[in-house]
Amino acid sequence: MNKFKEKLKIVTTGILQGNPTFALFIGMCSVLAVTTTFSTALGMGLAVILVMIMSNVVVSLIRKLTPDEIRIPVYIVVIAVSVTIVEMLMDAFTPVLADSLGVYLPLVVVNCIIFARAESFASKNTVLDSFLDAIGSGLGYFVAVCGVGIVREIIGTGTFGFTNPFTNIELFRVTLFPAEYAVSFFVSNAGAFMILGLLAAAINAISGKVIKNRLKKEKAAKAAAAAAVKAGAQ
Amino acid sequence: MKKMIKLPLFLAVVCVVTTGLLAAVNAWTAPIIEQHQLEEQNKGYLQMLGLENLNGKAIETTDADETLASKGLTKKTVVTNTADDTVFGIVYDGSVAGYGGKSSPIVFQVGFVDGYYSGFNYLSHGETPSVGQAKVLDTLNAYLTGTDVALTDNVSASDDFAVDAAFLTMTAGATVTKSKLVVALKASAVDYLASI
Repeated sequence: MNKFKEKLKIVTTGILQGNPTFALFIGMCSVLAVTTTFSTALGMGLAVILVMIMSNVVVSLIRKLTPDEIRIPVYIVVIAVSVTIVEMLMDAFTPVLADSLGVYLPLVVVNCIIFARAESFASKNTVLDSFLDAIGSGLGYFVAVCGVGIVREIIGTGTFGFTNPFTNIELFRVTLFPAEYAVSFFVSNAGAFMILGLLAAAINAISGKVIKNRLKKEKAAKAAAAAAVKAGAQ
Repeated sequence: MKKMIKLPLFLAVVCVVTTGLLAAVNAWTAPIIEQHQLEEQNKGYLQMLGLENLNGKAIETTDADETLASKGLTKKTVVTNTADDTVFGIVYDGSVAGYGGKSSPIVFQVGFVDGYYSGFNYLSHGETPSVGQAKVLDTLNAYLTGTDVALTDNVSASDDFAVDAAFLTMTAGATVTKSKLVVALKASAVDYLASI
């Protein structure tokens, strides 16, 4: 049970207190660029999760074979190949989405989140842990891009919709308020910054409370244990 | 010394393995990507010919011959009726240097059906939005579509191209955008008349 909790913690850390976008503020460029609509944000989020899983697993697999002096170039090759594979797959199966992501899809190669996880986690941990870390950090990025995308689309256009990336058919579009009340500023990059800041504040407030509660519980448990030991000694 | 061999060797092995992997994925996805590009291209042709689909039609794209290429046309796509093998329409792809020069040429398509212009569409350009694009590129489709090719005054007479005086008025102030484009349009009209 403890092992399961440990593994779960690896995943949840990447989503909440270790969220690459909201807590560590890395990999921000693509978050601002591809979040004009929810559909493109979702595509980018999934692409990054896939790349992270591939690179983290491979880096972890070869961690004992890789000489320390050339580990950086090796990681770069692994990440570049992972991105190129995902790019080819998206060009083949979701061409419209790949077009709308444009240059930001190949630029995932230089996304700090992926390199940071490969260097700081995958190169030192087992394949399973690295896989879980990729899922956690990938989901953290996914939550960030989708969150910003949803808020930007709703406030900026007054509508919310989703397009199937495989068929390019719009599955639904809901008008939440008339277009004349939409604030187009939030579709711009400056608006994206503002939304990102507000969402980061909200997420940090929530995760701060979670951490505080956890520390309180741990402190109380320790105090109870100490009291029990003292009572036993007397 | 051992390190000097081991490090490059390890990198080389990593590169070879990853190259093989990329080649395998490319071999799998390349035909699918090619198919998508072909479908996209055909969609453009259908739009130019006013067709909804290619049912009962055969499509054949060839590179432009020397005469057409010298006028800025790059491809000729002939759509035939499969029932009687007659020509349904022809679409020409072209790329000419306008005001944006050779680095950002006007890439366009022009279609002909039944002796009429059936559409004009530009795919990319480097023209000034308020001049070349607004005066020529954005208006040319509405202007040309439905115009009888045979009515083109000087389609085989001179290097200038004017369906009527209104075209010249429309393009006044955007002569650089117009000049090479009309030469290509005229060449496509001449070739179309010769092909049907």
